[in-house]
Amino acid sequence: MNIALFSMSSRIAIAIAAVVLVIATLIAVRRGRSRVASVLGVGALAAIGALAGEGLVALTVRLAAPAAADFNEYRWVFLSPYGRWGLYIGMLVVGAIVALSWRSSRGAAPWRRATLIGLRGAAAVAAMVVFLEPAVELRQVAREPNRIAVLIDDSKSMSLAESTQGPTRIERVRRLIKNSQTTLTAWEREHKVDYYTFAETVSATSPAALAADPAQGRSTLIRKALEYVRSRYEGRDLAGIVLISDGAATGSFDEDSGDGAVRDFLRSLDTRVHTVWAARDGLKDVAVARVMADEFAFVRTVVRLEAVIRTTGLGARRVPVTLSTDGQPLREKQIDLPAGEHEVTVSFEVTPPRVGRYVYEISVPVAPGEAVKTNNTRSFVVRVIRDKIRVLQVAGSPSWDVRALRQMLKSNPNVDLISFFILRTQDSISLVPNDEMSLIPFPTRELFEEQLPSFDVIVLQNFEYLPYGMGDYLENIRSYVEGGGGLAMLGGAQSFTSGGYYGTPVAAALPVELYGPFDSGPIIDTQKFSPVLTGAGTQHPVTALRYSANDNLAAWKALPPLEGVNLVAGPKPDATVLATHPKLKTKSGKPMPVIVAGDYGKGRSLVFTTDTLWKYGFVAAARAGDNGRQYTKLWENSIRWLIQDPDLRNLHVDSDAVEYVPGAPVRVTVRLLGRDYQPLPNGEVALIVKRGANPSTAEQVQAVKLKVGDDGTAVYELGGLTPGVYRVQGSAKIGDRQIDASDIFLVREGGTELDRPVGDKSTLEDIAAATGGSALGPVDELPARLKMDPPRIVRVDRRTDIELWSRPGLLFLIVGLLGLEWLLRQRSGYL
Amino acid sequence: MLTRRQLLGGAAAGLAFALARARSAHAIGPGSKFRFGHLQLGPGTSWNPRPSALKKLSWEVQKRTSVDVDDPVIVTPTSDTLHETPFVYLTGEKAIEIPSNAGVEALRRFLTFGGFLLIDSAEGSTDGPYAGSVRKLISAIFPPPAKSLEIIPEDHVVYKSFYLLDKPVGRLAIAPAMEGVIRDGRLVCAYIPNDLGGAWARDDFGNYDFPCEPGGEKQRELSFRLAINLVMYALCLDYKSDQVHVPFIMKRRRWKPDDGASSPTK
Repeated sequence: MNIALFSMSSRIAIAIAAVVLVIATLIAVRRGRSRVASVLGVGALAAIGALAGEGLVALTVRLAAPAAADFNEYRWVFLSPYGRWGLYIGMLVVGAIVALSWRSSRGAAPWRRATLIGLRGAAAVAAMVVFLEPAVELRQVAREPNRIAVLIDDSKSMSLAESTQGPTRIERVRRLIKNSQTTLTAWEREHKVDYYTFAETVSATSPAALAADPAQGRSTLIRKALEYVRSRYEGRDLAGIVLISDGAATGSFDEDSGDGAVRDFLRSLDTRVHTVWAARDGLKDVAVARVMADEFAFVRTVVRLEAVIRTTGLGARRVPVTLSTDGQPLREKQIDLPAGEHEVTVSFEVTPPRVGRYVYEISVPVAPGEAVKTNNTRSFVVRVIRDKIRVLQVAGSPSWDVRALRQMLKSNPNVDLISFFILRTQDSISLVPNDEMSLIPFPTRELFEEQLPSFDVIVLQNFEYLPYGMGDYLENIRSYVEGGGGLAMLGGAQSFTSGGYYGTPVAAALPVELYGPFDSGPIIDTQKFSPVLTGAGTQHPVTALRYSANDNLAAWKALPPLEGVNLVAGPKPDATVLATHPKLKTKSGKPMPVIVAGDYGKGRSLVFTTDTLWKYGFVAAARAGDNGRQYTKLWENSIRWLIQDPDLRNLHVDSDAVEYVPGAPVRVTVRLLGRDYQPLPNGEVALIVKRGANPSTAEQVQAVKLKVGDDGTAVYELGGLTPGVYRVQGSAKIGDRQIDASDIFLVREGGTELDRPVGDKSTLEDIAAATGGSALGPVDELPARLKMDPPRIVRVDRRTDIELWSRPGLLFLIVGLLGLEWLLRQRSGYL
Repeated sequence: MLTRRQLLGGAAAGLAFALARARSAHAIGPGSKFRFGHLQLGPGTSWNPRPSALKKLSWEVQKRTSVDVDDPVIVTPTSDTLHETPFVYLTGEKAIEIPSNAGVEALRRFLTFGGFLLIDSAEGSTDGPYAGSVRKLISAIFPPPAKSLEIIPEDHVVYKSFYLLDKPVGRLAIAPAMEGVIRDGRLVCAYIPNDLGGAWARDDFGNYDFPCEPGGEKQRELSFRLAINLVMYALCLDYKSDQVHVPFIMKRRRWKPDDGASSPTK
């Protein structure tokens, strides 16, 4: 191994300086400038001495360590205990000796003087070597190449192209890798280059594998990718990271990559991140970028839903934003989108009519040339729960039936009751000034126009609408029921046909046909009777006073008789007759219905054609052991049926989440409860899975029969579902009773990945700036000049120290130099 | 917020939406109608000192309110039809005998499960034998530690359930306040020993049987108003006190979207 004190260029410079100084000395001597000649001469000798010293050291090492060729590195060490200070002191001493020698050699010829000073200086240097005990440590070492991590974004946004003719972003990356072979080859000399793709996870890849990468990742988690690289190379030598992405990040970099926490994270990486922007300007897109909605809402109460509409690369335009559910548009708003990249917030208010899960969808139309069409629609789930059951009780006159219902509803803490009773009519005689009476006007408009949809159930109890100018509001009641509300009409002289309801919109919502004004025969019967349960009535949720059909029949038979019914033409074709009059018949010869239930649109309606139900409570309570509970039970049943209470179910079907990514497993738990609401073991539940926002057009995708275990539950796992709204419908039988339940969930396209497809250069610039890397921008080739950390990890296989000071030749050299100087001094006439 | 003046003044507007055609019946059978049960409790005819009073009152209720009223019936504590008449009237001029245990139990059930007992007095005294026996009866029906008769405050809803009143008067005005039994927040029994029946009673020629003292005909009118308020309370409970809260309840519920969006036609 060759020991060099100087680099080759320094060595040449010193040699040139020596020649120049010799020539300059000769010229100065010839011109008689002895002082200058002496200085130049000393300089020339010092240069020659330096070169000679280097050769001497190399020769010494070579002689001392014949196998030095095996060593590939050396370093200087001082074996004396004086260290760096010893070196400085030694240099001062050498300088002082040279200065003294300069002074003592005054008068000598220039060449002689220079030689005397040179010899003494050289001897002093040699003595300093002995004093400082320098040595050369020869080492045989090996350097580990460190790693460059190339992180390539293969999320779905990388499959986009800014123009229809142009390359996709991932194609640009492939071309970049191909164009950068020279740089990559250069890097391979000192580093190893590792390739990774990242989206929601990080995977090792190679340039060859990248060629077939379709870039379909569902998110762009840049931070997660950087964290992964950092942890993967923890304790190992990382030369740097090259991040190639469109910058359309999801997760922690999607909002503000320049904030303090993100910067701290980037600094903690402790390596440079060079970034390449794979996107280009010019992408056109309109997207429902975000939706802000509470996960929970209350039924029949306004819930606010906000969406951020983002426009990119398009001109100014006005677009409609639509809120839909079940495939039906609910609300629509026109918004103005400015040109360029902007976000506009739009808010909707909706009033969920029922308890349960709702899948809402906010959409904007697809603009011409849009890069991403799927982000123009965003679906989300809102769980609607109930606070209290809101009941409106309207009675045409106070009666025991009215009192009993009010008392029952008021005593139920789950009911928020508003009653309106007509206490006095125009028939009523009054000679009393109004200010001595505690009467208020009947707020028909407020109740039946402004506030109607805020109620869960409306009870019209012996109420005639005509005297109160309510004809215009009957359509509101009908549409309220059609939209999901519950309506109960009770009998009385002001109800049904005798209340003037024939042919009105309210009659359309009732489950019975009314007699018209031209129908002959009575419309009221005043006789006592005990209603007879029909087959449906023995187990219907309304009339089920007891769970078992036989027990229920017995319970009904034990009730006191009622008194008087309104006669109706018959039940509507799709209505369910629950109880009939024991004697009276309709004109078609069928038993006269007394209790009838029916669906109307999304709502339900129920009629009791009598106004003496109160007898099931107070009159029944006359008997010892009967507390009139059956009246309460009948009305609790009725209210819960009218509001379609999900808690009444014996079958529960629940998915384990409300939202899934495509292909993710969906676990559906089925829970079957018996009549006593305890788990029903070994029951069978039929499950049908349908896909589609609109229930009427949803397509069946799976059907399966499940057997529940001892705990009454079974779990079914659905897999491979494509994006869309899914409904799981379960049905089972408990005894001879058919029970149903359903659930709804959402499989969302692409997660949040394509919500913001436009490339974001600034994210990459921030990352590069925070880590000391270079933001290369939209380049087509990786430049070789990129700064990478050199390999730091060194392995030392062998080493040896060559001591320069203990060489016998060094002593001879000192003696020889001093002797020569003395001899020269003698010959010059000096002592 | 609905002020009292608005509330009362608006009554006229509400009542203007009166029936467009004559209508005499509001119920579809006897069982739906309101009728007084006259509780027969006491020796001889002492339980019915004002035989025409309830019939006259029934007519007044029918005439002045929307309540459909039938003729009063006589009931006893143990009669099968006691619960058919949830409003029972008891009066007398002599001490009454406490019914048998079965009778007391029947009255307790009646009052507990929703019945209403109006106790009047034709004794002309607030501390005579009849008054003492009434207190014994109440103590028998609701034995201690249950609360017995207590003063019903003037702000109780019974004083504003139809008319706005501030004191209970009948033929006499010897008892300044109404006493009553309140169970589970409901007034189940009112005791007014001011001879209400004496104010209501009328002969076949239409003449009132007794003058009202000291207030004369004004006092009689107030007596009718009190009775109607008691009927309305029995039929509507605290409906009137609830009405004050309705505007708040309505406002609290915000159901109507107010987002400026349109509802597309489906």
